[in-house]
Amino acid sequence: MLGLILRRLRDLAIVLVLVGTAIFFIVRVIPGDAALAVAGDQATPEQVEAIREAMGLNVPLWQQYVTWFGQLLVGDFGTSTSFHTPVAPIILSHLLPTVTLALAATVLSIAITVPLSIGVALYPRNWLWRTVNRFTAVGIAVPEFWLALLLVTVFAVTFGAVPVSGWVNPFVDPAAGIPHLILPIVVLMVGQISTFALMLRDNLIGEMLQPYLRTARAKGARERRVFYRHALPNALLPAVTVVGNNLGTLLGGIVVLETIFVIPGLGSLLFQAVSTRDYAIIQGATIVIAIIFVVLNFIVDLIYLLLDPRVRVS
Amino acid sequence: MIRQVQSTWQGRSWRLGAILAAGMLLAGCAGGGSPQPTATATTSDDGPVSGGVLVQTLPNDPGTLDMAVSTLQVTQTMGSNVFESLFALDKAFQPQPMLVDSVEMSDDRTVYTLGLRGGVTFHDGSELDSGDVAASLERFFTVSPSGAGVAADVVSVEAPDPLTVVITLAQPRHSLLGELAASAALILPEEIATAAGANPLTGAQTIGTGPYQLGQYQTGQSVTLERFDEYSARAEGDWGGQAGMKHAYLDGIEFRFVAEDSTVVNGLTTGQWQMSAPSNDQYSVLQANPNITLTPIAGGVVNTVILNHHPDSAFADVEARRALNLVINKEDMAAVSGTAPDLLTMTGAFQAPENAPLFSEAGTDVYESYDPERAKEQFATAGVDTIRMLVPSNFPQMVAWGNVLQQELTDIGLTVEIESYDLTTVRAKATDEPGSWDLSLTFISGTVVAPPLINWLQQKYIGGYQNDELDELFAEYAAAEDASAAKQVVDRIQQLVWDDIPSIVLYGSKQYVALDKSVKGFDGNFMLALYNTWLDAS
Repeated sequence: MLGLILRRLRDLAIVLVLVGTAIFFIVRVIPGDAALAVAGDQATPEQVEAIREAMGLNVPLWQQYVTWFGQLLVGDFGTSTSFHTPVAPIILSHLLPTVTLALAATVLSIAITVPLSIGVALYPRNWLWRTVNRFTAVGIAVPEFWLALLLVTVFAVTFGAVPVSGWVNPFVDPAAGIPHLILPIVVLMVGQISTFALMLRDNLIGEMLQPYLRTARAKGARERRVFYRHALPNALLPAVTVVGNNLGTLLGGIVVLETIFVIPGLGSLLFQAVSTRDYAIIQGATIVIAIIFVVLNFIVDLIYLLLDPRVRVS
Repeated sequence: MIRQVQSTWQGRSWRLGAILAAGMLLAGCAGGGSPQPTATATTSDDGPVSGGVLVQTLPNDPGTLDMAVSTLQVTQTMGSNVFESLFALDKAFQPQPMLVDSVEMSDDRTVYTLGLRGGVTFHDGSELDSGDVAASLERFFTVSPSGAGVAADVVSVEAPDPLTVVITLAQPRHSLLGELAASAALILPEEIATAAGANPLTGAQTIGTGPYQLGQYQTGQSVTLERFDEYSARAEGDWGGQAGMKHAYLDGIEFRFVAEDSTVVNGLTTGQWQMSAPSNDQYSVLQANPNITLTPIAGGVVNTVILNHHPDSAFADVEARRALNLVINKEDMAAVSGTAPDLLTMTGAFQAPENAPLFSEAGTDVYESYDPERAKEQFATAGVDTIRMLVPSNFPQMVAWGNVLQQELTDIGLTVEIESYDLTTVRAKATDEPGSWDLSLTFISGTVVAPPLINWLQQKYIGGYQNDELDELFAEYAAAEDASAAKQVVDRIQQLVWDDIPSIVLYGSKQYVALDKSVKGFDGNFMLALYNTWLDAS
């Protein structure tokens, strides 16, 4: 276990250096003068030059890189040119809505998908099987933005059952915050449930045909034990990876949904930062997203350790 | 009243004086400011109602309320409730005194002695004095592009006593008072103006003299303003625009940042917010909603084709510029933008009709001329067979104009090469590779206070237009003795614009705001400022 943690910390350092270096140079390759973007059309050349100097863009690229990386090593993500405040608190404040949405949608999706898939695998060809098949096909195909607008029109505008948009911190004011979360979570869940259910159903059915289950039955194991003790854990293994990657993607920012539902999350922050060439936020947010991915991969590895004895042995 | 004040400033004897003081005192005596409502809502039969928090949406977070540093409209909309300048533009876009009480001008029009209003307090409780004004103007000259233009003519700004400021110019500058009325010329406490320097104001530094003060700034989410109970209001109730009496009827204003247009409309429909400025596409939808009122905003924008005057550009030749004007069907351009007809101005004016000092109809015949066949001949004479367009992709109307223009040019046998990027990239490419493009697209504010401030008439702007005759006209405008003389120069500048065609005005378009029916008193002022606006609970 200690070895795994140390290896992951080493990986984290490598990923951060690579991602940080890549994003530093990529944002500077994007056409568009960041100083001009901040100064606006009407600024005099002297004013643009003053802004360029204040942003540290008037020195050679390697010098900018060394300065930025040195600051990063001591936890200084720099100062936003859009918001004129340090980047770290901005990213942190935008991380909470994204994490809340992503975790809630993922946990709820898993809670629904696992029993649903078990039902489908245990009782194939019945009404549940047909319903889940149709739902997953539609759920995977439907674009999130379209579904979001449809749900808003029906449930928020027409029936007034939930707010149209907005974010109220549900940990501070649950009564006001939770209604704002319902529609975005439902939209995220539709896609996730469809993906997870389809995969888990196929995994379960595949496992049920494996020879080792025949052996278990031949040894006198009851059907319930065969399913829950042997088939289900093995079927869940690939799902853990998919869920982990999916969660990482969500935590990296749900730009479209955050825009439609006016949620001040990481995705919308990054999107706005690219438009305004706010290098500090782009670099800081990208590094935070990279950290999230590495940490999630680590958690997935730990779950593998728990679920699969072969990994423990190896 | 407006005429009296204006003629006093622009006549030979420059004493405007204490006539405003009585009104100011009347207004100022009432508890140190305007008759301020209490936190508890009060009602009257038909008149204003005090109380409530109005929620207004804005498309993005500018990161600051500092109008000196940020010229974005969203900054102006929020900041105009918080900050004030020495002067303010009225509904006819004439500068009127705001923080000043009297204006005295020397006979040679180079020395302005400004008497400040007494008893004006900042949101931090300190009282306005001439040191604050001098420091704020110094900052305006340094950080604001329009301020830098003024600074070129300013010899000194002095504060001989606490309520007197003396501005000395190197030469007469007709537009000075209008430029001092700009939102960028906001007045701050001296220590804040000095400490902030060229940096945008932080939350703690957001201290003005306006009727609302900053409550909370939640980055990327919302900004809350609260009523400033010590606000010292002027007495003039009929100036309109940003000038005259301001009442803070609302307990507070909450600005929420909502980018998605359909979300804006849905929120208005369900009453989640009471005021928004949706896109033109939503106009007819909202017009059909009985619970929503649509109010045009004074000023608006002037939509323009920017021409490149670099020697490598097709439009370095005036014949090619005239040919392009002949091939553009301006009505088609307006139609594809989706702007409602009642929000359009099809005159070719380089400023909005409400901006009376700068609105001109000179050259309208050239603007209205449309003759593709003649355009084809003129392009051939100029030796132009290819046009390179830089189209900003993040403005749907500009993409639509680009498509129409491409079709019109292709129809007369020209080859059109389009490059489409976001606006920041377009501007950078146009600047960094000045010979690589022929035309681009933009819109400018219709509320500019002097012709030299129109960006596409400036040599420093992309396109690099330069014309000695225009420079002479700018000098004549600066030296104009009064509004009438200045207006005559404006007419000549616009005639020159349509003779030499530095850029091509497509059409003017007003913006509009959608208001919940509970919102009353909003006058369509071009900053969207919410003083004198109230919420009717009935």
